Amino acid sequence: MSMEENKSGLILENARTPEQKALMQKIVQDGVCPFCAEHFKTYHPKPILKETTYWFFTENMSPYAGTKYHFIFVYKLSHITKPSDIAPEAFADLFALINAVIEEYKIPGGAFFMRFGDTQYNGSSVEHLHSQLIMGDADAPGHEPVRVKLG
Amino acid sequence: MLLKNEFPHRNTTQMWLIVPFRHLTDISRLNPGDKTEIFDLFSRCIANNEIVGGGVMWRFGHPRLNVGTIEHAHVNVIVPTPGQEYRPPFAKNASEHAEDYQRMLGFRDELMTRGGVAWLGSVQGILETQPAV
Repeated sequence: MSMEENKSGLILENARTPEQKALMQKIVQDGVCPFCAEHFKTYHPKPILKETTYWFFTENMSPYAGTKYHFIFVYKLSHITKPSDIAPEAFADLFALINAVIEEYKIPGGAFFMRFGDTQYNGSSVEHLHSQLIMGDADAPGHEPVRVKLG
Repeated sequence: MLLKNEFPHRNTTQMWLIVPFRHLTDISRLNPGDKTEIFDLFSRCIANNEIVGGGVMWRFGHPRLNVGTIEHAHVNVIVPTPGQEYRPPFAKNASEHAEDYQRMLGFRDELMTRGGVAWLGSVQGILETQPAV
């Protein structure tokens, strides 16, 4: 299937697990973006933990190795790929949601990140704009550094 | 303020920092004005530097869990080099921490030869370390 025929905005070569890749292949065949609001609940295998006007909050279906928590925040209003296209009030809403999550899950430290734009530069498997929050499981025996592919 | 990261990681073409003027380590203390300015600076950074793709990253909380080298809150805007793998660390082992410590000592020594914190806050220091936005 050519890039033009792939309407899903998914980049299979950046999938991390066989399960993720299998689901992505099905979605590519269906020809929809799985992160767009009208499809999200159909395709995302994890429950939605919180929902605001602008964001879905849920767990990443294929968490990075070495993380205790790996959450995602998916933009609801439209299919965008750049943070500069986010409504300004949605940006403030994202910060509020992140703070609420840090407090609820008692996350003492970690990072949140957002890939954007051309996937040649960011290693993303899904073009639709989403942010991620991770906390490494530093207390686990044999804990290895968490390294996120950003390019 | 928007700053160019003077110590870019390998396999990146651009690294920028968005840093609040006041000393802030807890992102829950960002006020509405902070959030608006972060958004504005990010948008300008992307537009002014012809950035077509990359990542935005913010470490928070205990450094043991995020391997941040500076507690003062800051947003990283990163443009990886296309075709080369880039993985920023969110946790490090002992030897990597040792490398960071040596690097930090090098920065301290360089800063002191230039005149220390006084130089960093001087007109000359600002001109040399901060790009025009």
